[in-house]
Amino acid sequence: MPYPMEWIDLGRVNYEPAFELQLRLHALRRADEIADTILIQENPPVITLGRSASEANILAPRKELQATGVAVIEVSRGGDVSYHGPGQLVVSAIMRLRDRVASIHEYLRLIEQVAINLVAEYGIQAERIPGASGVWTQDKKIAAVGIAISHGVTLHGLAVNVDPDLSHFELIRPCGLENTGVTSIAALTGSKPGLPDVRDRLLHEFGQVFESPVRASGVDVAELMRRSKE
Amino acid sequence: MLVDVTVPQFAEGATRIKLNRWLCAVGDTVAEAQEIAEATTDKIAVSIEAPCSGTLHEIVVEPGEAVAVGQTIGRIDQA
Repeated sequence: MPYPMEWIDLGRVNYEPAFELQLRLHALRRADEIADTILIQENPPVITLGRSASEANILAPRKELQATGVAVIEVSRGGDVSYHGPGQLVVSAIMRLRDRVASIHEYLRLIEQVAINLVAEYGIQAERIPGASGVWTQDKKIAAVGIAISHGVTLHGLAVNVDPDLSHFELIRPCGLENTGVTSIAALTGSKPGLPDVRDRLLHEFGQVFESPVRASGVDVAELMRRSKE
Repeated sequence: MLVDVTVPQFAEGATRIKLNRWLCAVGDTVAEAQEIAEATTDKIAVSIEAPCSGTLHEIVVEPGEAVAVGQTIGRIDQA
């Protein structure tokens, strides 16, 4: 019997408390107190800087960002600059690597496959592009990928553009890449799938790709968030 | 006894690994499994943990340099 995965959907939540929660879950996973966990959220507009981030890839002046209510936060994942906002499903996978895969490279490939399979459910054919992170369709990024591993347990994961305000991506140079665009499921299909629908399909794809049962987590999120504030 | 700090095997297959930063300095006391350095690829941040408790004796690879899986990046004087 493969190890089960569990999921938590935070709904719309600020990036920082959700990140604190992610660190809590990471510590619990390391201590073997919880199963591998998929943490799902939607964030108010925020720009995150990965470990390889260059400030130059934030194109908008900080004043403009403040005026439009876009926060800027440094985070522990790999990669450069990312934007998250409403209409985007942000997915973090907290998994013990050695229970699942032989290498971080294989793990990354599987995470990308989850995104590829997910958008395929909406009739979108997407692919990896050598030398660029994320999942792409027609030379535009539809899902961003950035992961971290600490003590053998992963953090972060992917962000799927369901129906975000695409103009917000013009605030940054995504992942430091020149002349690339972003797109979304809504922009490509003309319909707006609800985030719960995308979430359910995503969880199904996680189960398929990682060959594991996926079930709702019994973790008391409110209690954990309260504790992470202390 | 000096113990090598190496880039973990699970980073196998990752391309363009770079040592991003050290989280401690030569002479610092470190505990086994403490995160002491961080490597990155274009998509992945990998924490490198102390293989034993002791004192960081030597930094072999400086931040910004490319590294390979298994490569020694520093040495710990085991306590």
